[in-house]
Amino acid sequence: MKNQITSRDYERLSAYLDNQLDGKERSRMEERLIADPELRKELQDLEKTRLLLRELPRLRAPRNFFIHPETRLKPVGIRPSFKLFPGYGIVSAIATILFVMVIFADRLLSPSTPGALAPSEVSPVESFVVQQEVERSVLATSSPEEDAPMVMMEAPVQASTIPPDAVAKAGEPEIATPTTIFLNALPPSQTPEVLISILGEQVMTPTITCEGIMRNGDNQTAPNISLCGTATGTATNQIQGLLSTDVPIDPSEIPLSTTTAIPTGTPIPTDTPYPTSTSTPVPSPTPVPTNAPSITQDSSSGTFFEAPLIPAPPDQLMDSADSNQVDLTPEVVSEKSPNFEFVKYILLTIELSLASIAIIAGILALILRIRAGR
Amino acid sequence: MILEAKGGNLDSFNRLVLAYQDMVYSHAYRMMGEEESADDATQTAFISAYNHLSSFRGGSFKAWLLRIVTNACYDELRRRIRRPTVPLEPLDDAGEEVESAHWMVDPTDQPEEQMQRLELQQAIQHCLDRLPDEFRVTVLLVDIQGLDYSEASRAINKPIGTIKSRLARARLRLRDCLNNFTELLPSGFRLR
Repeated sequence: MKNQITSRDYERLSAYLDNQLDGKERSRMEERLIADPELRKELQDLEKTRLLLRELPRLRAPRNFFIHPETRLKPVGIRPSFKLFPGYGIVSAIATILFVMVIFADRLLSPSTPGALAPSEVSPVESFVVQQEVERSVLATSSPEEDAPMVMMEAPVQASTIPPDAVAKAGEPEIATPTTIFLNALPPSQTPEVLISILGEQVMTPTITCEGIMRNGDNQTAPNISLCGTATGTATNQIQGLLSTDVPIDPSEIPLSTTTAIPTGTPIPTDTPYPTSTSTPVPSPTPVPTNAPSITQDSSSGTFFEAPLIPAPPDQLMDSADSNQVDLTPEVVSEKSPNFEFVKYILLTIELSLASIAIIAGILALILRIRAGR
Repeated sequence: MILEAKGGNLDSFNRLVLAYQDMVYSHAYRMMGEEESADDATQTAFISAYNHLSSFRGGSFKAWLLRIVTNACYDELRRRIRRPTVPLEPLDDAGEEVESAHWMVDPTDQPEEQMQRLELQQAIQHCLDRLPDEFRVTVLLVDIQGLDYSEASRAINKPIGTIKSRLARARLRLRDCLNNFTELLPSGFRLR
């Protein structure tokens, strides 16, 4: 039976040839060599190969390699050791990592990014309300029956991290037959308010935010809420669905009104009645609750003043804390914007600094490597 | 002489150069496979040896010198891999190619025995050149320069087990390679 010679056997054979095996291994190898002629043949081949190599003549140097006094200090072929090599590499790596981290942080903090903080904090009810407002605005502009003079949407409605507040101002319920509604949808970066100005037929009414009514009014504020909608029956149905009130709203009894979006972010009560309203003021037949009038008119002076807050229905309540912030002024709400911008500027500065460091370190490392001839 | 050279005596060091330059150049040539690179590596090795003579702490000066020239050859081989070059034909003063370059000499013009020896050396060098660098340097240090395993281990800074393994594999590869040149081998050296 023929034994297979392994690479381990060749190592032992080679070491045996050079007399590098210890006593026990050497005697074991000799026993195998006696018993295995194939192994003996392999040993002879290795020995011939080694002999051929040893027979190679030593070459003569083509010249003398003396060291001359002028050449002994010349660093020929010696790699210059520059101890800043690893330093530049580390700085470059750290700067790159921080650069990537800052970019991700900027993405997360940016309010305009779709993957920002907004989606998890936006209430579905809020999104629904905003969508309703957009639909109303579109209907008001596209309806040929309307005599709307102008409808302006200043910016597309986006999901905002800041819940839009509302400021409600309305005229006296009995005379506050709506003829004009101002709808203003603003982007989150600006004052997030939707304002609706309700004008009476012959007297001006202060601006009222539709959302404020929706969030704070209960189902008994139907007359006021109905002002937020368009003059079409579709809008009425939408409002009824939104409020989920038991009080029916007859579209025929709702006065025709025009909806106008103004680009301003602040409620602007103006004494100049918009001449666009041509509809006849009809008192709303909808039952008015005792706490319904949110905007009253001083009959003696003829001026309007702000009404008390209207409690929101449970199904419309987005945030119980928001009910206390309904009458916040836009200035109070927009206090967070400067901080946000400041953080963004800081992040941008860090990004630029780290990018500069990374680029400079990389260029320096490249130059040094080229100079070292590596 | 080594002690004098370590003391800064340049003449003593140059006497060491004279004693070892053939060995160093031969090792460099077997490693590099060409004269120009071997010359550069030899010069670099002697300059480096002179500059680092203080690090020699006794033992085999030959092994210490072979370690230096081996490192110089490794550096030259790495440089060659990064910047491969094509050897140019030598030109005379008139810009014409030299037809009598020494590597172009026809060996058939020499006596037959000398010609066969030269062809065998070329065949062995050819097989050495085909070995991986780490195998080649091991077989050169042990089989050609005659270092033992421990000296070779110190020369290339590898454990003795690695030397043993690489040497066996290098010898096997050389045997297989030399089988292709059977007609060049002397009758007593014919491999199976």
